[in-house]
Amino acid sequence: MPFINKHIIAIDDTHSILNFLRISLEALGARFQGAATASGGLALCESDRPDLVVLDLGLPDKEGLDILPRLKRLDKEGNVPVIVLTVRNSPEDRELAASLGASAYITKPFVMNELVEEIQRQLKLKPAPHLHLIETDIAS
Amino acid sequence: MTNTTPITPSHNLVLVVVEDHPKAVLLLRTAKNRAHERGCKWRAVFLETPLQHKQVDDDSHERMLRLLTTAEQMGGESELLEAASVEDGLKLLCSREAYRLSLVIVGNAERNELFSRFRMKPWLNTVRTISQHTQVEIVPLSGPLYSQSFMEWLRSHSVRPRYLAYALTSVAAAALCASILERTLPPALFRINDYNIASLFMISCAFVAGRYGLLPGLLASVTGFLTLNYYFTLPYHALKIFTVTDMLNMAIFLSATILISLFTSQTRDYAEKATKRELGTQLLFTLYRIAATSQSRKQAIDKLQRRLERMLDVDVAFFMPPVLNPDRIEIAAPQDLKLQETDLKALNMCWHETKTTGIASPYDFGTSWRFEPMVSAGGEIGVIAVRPRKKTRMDAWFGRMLTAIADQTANVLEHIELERSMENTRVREEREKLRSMLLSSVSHDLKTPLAGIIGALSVHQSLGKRLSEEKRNDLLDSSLEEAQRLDSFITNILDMTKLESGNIKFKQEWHSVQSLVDGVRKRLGHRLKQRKLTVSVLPPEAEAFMDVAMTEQVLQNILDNACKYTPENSSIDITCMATPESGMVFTVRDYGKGIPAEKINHAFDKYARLHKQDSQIAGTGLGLAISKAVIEAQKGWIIAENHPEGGAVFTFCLPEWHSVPMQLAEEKKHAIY
Repeated sequence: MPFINKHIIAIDDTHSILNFLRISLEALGARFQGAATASGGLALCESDRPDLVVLDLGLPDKEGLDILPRLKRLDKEGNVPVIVLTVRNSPEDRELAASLGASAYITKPFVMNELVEEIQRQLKLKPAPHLHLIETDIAS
Repeated sequence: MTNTTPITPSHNLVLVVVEDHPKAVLLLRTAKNRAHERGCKWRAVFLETPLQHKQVDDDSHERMLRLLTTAEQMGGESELLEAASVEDGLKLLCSREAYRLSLVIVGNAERNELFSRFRMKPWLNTVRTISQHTQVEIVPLSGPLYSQSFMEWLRSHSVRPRYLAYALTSVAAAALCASILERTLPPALFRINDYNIASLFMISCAFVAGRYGLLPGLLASVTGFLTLNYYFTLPYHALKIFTVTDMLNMAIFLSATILISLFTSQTRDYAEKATKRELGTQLLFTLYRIAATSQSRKQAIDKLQRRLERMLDVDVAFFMPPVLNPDRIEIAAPQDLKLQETDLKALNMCWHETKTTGIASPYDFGTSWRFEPMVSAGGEIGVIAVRPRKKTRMDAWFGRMLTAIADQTANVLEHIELERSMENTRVREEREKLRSMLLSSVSHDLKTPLAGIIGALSVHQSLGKRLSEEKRNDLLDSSLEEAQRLDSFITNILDMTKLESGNIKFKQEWHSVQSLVDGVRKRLGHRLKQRKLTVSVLPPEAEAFMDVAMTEQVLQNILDNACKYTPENSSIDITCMATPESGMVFTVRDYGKGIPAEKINHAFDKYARLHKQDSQIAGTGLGLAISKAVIEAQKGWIIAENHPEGGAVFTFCLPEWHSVPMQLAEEKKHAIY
């Protein structure tokens, strides 16, 4: 159970994707919550404080990238891992996502192992040492 | 009077200023010889001044043009320079060519007019000034100036010999009229007197002056007076003036007729000028209106050709190489246009050397056409050819107007071309933008269900052993559903392609409406599970004439749409009702938010998305467009509207239906299954 006690929220408007994410991540021990809209997802994240967020870009109410900076600031260090999951694969979208703080960028369609490995990597890296250092410096 | 200045190697041009003189060729010959001696080029320049326009007749102008042509034939260059005065022109030339001017040659004509000795030659001063910097040679031109024959003199005053004949005829007519009146009015009281007869002659003078100009008018007044005196005053048949009264009468009559002639001919001149000016303005207006309303150069020259023919009363033809294919010539010309060899020669020269050729130009070739090159800022774009009809006079004014028309036409055509190429670029860019938008939209819509399938199956494969039976089935169901959606997208895209290319053939047959609806329900079963579906078919045994597979696709697309935009567990009503007037009417009503008002008119457009960020359940945006095409191909109609109580209503109709007896319908059903 690699993700035991880890809380993951996925924001994606495709029902079938949320469905298999729920089945697989719960099977791996995570606590999973899904949202189909950007505003719903943001509210859920703000109330439940997940360890990691999986975010789709083309959402019905607004662009996923619009809420990305706020998702990043969910914890004190401002470094909640956000994995972008989208069908868009243009270099511009990737660059924009990276500049807004996306931790990883996976294009659809994908196999579940790919995402699981990325989640593992992101959760181990947390918190990012350099960011932590800067925050401590400012605090001190 | 020569002044020697050292000639540097850069001084390599001999300029000769030509003037209208019978021996003007001498100037050219001198220029050629001097240029030969110096081993440099020479150029003949004609300075055209406003003063000349007033004083010089058209023939003189033509002679000057011919002289310039001769200069070219002699191996020199030629130039026609417009200047305010001869002095200005000389100054301009010298300052423009200062760095390369080797020699300036001017002619000094001996004018044997009465006052020529006393007349100043202001340009001589200018020559003196110039000679301080440049070598100047003055060539004396001996002998009288170009002398005109009587006919040439008449022509130069816009008088044709037949006008004089008309003047005489008009006087004769007045005389005839007077003698008839004299003989046919016998009673002494009503007898016509000398004053009446004099008035008749005055009328004839006024008529001639007004119609044919001053000279014929004057001729009419003099001959009128003589006739009056000879035939109608005492003593008859003799030209005699006896008393002071006679002389006074004569003086009054002559001055009256001459004044009338002067004024009427002046009015005629003004009217003629005004007509010409108006024609010029009208032509310009026509040109710009045609430019504004034409889509292409070809269309513009076709319109122009017709309008110019009508306005100028001439035959007009345009010859233009198309922009992209200069070897092929675009022509707008009268239908019976046949060009002779001489015409073609003149046309070729006009095009290749950018020169006015043909009738009344220095390069005549014996053709009946006049060819003007159309030159715009971007270069020569074609040739306009004009053939005068009987009444048209190819005078200097007409020549100038043709040049103006050619220049303006060139500008107008260039403008049209520019506008069209800008429009083409814009359309191409728009199309490219749309294409890339559609491509990204279609690829998004195809990849989304594929992501669902691949993801669910990959979970099933890697974690299947850890999952319960129920979850494994859930994954498979969801994959199946997504696969069906993908299938539906692909079918739609293929159908649309086929419909657009006309490759689809409709196989219409009688088919039960109820079984059509059942078939679609079965196919959409999984998706319709979360909706409350009510179906009513009236009459239940109705059959409609349709292509079953395509009509099923229509109903499926509409239901798909309803599922897409309504919350789970909401209702969808399907009503199929046969009506005598419309046919079989299918109505699908959902209880969602309805179609946004601004999009309701575009619901059936290709790639239309009814809601922003329409990707909850992605679609290709083709479903409703296909439905419309399919129904209309079967002579039916389809509409989309919002229900007053909320939700969208899609209604389509198939025009032909009939009701089969229940028993037969049952038998058919069994036969099918």
